[in-house]
Amino acid sequence: MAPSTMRTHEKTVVSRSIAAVLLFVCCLGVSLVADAHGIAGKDAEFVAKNQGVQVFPFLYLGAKHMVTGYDHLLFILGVIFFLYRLSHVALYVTLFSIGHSVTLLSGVLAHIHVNPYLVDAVIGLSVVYKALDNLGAFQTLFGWQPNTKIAVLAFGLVHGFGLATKLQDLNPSKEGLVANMVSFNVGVEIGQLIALTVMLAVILNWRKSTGFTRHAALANTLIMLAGFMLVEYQLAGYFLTRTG
Amino acid sequence: MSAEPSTLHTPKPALLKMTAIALIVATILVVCFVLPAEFRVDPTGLGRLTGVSKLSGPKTMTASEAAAAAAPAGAPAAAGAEATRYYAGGYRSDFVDIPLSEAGSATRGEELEYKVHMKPGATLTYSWTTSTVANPEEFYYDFHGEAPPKPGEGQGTVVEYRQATGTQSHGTLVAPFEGVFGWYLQNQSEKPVVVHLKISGFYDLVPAGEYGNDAGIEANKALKDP
Repeated sequence: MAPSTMRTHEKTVVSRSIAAVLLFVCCLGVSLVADAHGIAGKDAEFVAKNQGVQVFPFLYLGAKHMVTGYDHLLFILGVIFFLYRLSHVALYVTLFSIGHSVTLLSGVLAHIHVNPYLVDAVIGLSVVYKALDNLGAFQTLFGWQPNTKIAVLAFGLVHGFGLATKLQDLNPSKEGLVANMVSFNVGVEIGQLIALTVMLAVILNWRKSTGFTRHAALANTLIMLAGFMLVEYQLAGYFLTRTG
Repeated sequence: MSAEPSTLHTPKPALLKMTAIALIVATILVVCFVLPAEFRVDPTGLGRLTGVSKLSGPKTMTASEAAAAAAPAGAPAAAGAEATRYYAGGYRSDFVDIPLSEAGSATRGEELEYKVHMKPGATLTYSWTTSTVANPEEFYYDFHGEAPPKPGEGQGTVVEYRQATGTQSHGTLVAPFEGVFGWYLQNQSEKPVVVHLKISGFYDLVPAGEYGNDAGIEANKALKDP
C-alpha cells in the first residue's frame, strides 16, 4: 500500500467511509433499541412463562439471538476477514462454537451468573482485539503475535457466558431445562451458520475487487470503532445501573 | 497445521492514528447518543436536543433510592430509623380475592396486575397467600410501583421491589412517590388459584378498569378457592 496509490483514491474512500459510518451508526442505533440486552420483550415473556421441553421455540430463539446479535456477528466478521480457505473458516468457527457451547451449557447448569454488562464489555473487547489483529497491530506495536486459535477459543468461552447469563436472567423453568438449553445452543449454531454464509458471500466478492486491502483497513477500523462503542456502552451500563 | 490468518501490515503511525480515531469517534457517539438513549445520562444535552433520550424507557428506581425518596425532606439518608409517621386520616383495610386461571389458558387469565393508589410517604401493610399452588416455584410475583408520565415529560417512573416465586408474601411499604403500587401475579401451575390479599393503611383502591387495576378486580368480595 504505497502512499501515492492511497492518495488517488482518497476522495472516494473518504466519501465511502462517511457513508459506511453513517449506515453503521444507523444499524447500531436501531439494533440497540430493538435488542438492548439480549433477549427482550415478547421473547423474554415466552421464556419466562413456558414450561417443559420446547425444542423448536428455543431453536428459533437461539438462531434469532445470533442473527440479531451484532456483538457476536462483529466478532465472527473479524475472525473470518482474512481467512482464505474454507477449511480454516470451519476450524475457527468450530473453535468459537466449542468455546461458547461449553460455557453456555455449563454456565446454565452450574448457575454461574456473571454480570451481563461486564461479559458484554469483554465481548466488545474481543471485537476490538480481532480488528487490531487484522490490522497487524500486535506484531507492529508489540512485536508479538498472540495465537489466534487460542484467542478465538477463549473469547468463545466469554461469549458463551454472555449467552448463559442472559438465559438465566430470564428464569427459565427447571422442567426441560437441559433439552431447552441444548435446543437454544443448536439454534445459536444454526444462526451463526446463516450469518456466516452471508458474510462469506459478501467478503469473497469483496476480495476480488481492486483496492480490497485499502477497504479492509477501513473496514477493520470501523469494526474496532464498533467494538470500542460496545465496551463503553456496556461499562456505562455496569456503572450507571448498579444498585446500592 | 498453521492456520494463522494472514493480516494486513499497517505501518505503526497509521495504526496508532486509526486506533485513536476509532476510540475517539466511539467515545463521542457513546457520550452524545448512546448514554442519553440507554441510560438517560446526557452530559452534552444532545440527547434531549435530538430527542434520543426519550428512548430510555421509564426511570427505574432501586429499592434503596425509593426509600431515600420516601424519607421526609431534611431527614438523614438512612431514614430506616424513622419509627413513626402521622396522617390526617384515611386509614382503611380491605381484603381482595384475586382469581387466576391455570397456566396456558386460552384467556391468558393466569396473569394480571393488581395495585392500589398511594401518595408519597403513605404506608401500607399487606399479607397475601394463595390457595391451590402446591409447588411454590410455580407462582411468580413482581412487587413494584409506578407512576404514569406527567404531561409533557414523556417518561414515567418505576420502582422495583421484589421479583420472586412463592405462594405467600407479607410486608410493609412506604410509597416513594405518588403512583400505583402492587403486584404482577402469574400462576404457572396447572390448577386455577385464588390469591387472598389483605391490606391496611393509607391508600386508595383503584376502580375496576383503571390504571393499576386493568383486570377489574373487585375488593371485599369473597371468592371460593377453586
